[in-house]
Amino acid sequence: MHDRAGLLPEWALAELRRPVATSDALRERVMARIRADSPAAPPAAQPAAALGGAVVAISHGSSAPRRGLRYQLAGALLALAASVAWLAVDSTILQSRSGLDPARGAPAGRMIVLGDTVNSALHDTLRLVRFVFEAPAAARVAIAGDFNGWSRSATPLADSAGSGVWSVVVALDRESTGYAFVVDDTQWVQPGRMAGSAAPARPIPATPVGGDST
Amino acid sequence: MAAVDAQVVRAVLGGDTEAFGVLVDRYHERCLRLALHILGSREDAEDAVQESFLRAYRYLGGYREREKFAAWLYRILVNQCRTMLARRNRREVPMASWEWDTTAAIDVAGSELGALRDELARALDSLSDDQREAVVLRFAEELTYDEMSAITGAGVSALKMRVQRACTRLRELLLESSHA
Repeated sequence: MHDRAGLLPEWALAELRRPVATSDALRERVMARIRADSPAAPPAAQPAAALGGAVVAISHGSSAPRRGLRYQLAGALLALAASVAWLAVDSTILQSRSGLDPARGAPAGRMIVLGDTVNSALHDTLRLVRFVFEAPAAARVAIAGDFNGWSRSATPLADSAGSGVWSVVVALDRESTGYAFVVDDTQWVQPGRMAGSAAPARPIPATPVGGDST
Repeated sequence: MAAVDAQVVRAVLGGDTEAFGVLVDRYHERCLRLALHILGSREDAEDAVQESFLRAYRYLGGYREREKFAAWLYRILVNQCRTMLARRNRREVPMASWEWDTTAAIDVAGSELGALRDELARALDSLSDDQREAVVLRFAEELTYDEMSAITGAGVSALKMRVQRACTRLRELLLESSHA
């Protein structure tokens, strides 16, 4: 509080802190939306959140619509470098949800892997993957993995719509197997392994998972 | 004795949707004040509060009890306010004239306090979004810089600088206004 005195007039401070009038109507509107968003069945309690409570789903671009999967990569051609090589890719989406969605009662840690359907001859070399991470409370989200040397800042996700859904598209080689999301520079969330990869998730080196890293 | 926030959260996650109303009752007034100061519009502020509570409910499983629920909720609200400000800026619509609470028990219309309130509103409006956010969190919500950092994602040093510059600007504007 040492910076308060003298920075602003007392009347201005009092005005800033003055309570505002609210109404029961606002409270009821909020609760009406909550109830409308609730499932018929009670939401499941949060499972053990060894990885920061992450819920992970990896899905195909043509999967049925559902909440959180609206950011789907439509299709298919990626111009790569100056070689004029075009890479046809499937709309593989890796999606991670920060925390349990009570309205859906989705189980944490669930991962669905649907294989790629890439037909290009370059299929075995590279694939285009979109990482999506829902975290409305996050200030920053990045993706780290063996493809970027496990850098917590090299591949940031963007929340361009301001909707709390962060995403980035990365061209990965087929050898990439391990990745994790880095939330607010400190919280590591490791969903699992890459879609279509037979390799198990690679442990994140030298950094704690699911906890603060200082 | 009122249930602590973590107990309420556990009840909601256990299936008691109505328990979320305890958190709404507990925090919606403070959220509305914060949003009103940042957005300057009562209608926008109420929209931001509604959306933030809905998001908090949807992602309640991501809340960790070692963090204060209020701080977690504030982070969602601040992000929501930023989103609304960005949309407003993209539309290049000037910020609406500040709509301060006119339904308070004390009618200050036409009073000296009412004039001061208008001056402060105009002065806040002239700040950058970052500066206004910082000064409101610091002085309206009386948060520490560490708490502000956790909510905004900005560093403590940067926040101190923002607050200092915002206050300098506010003092200049209020002084100009009083001499006008």
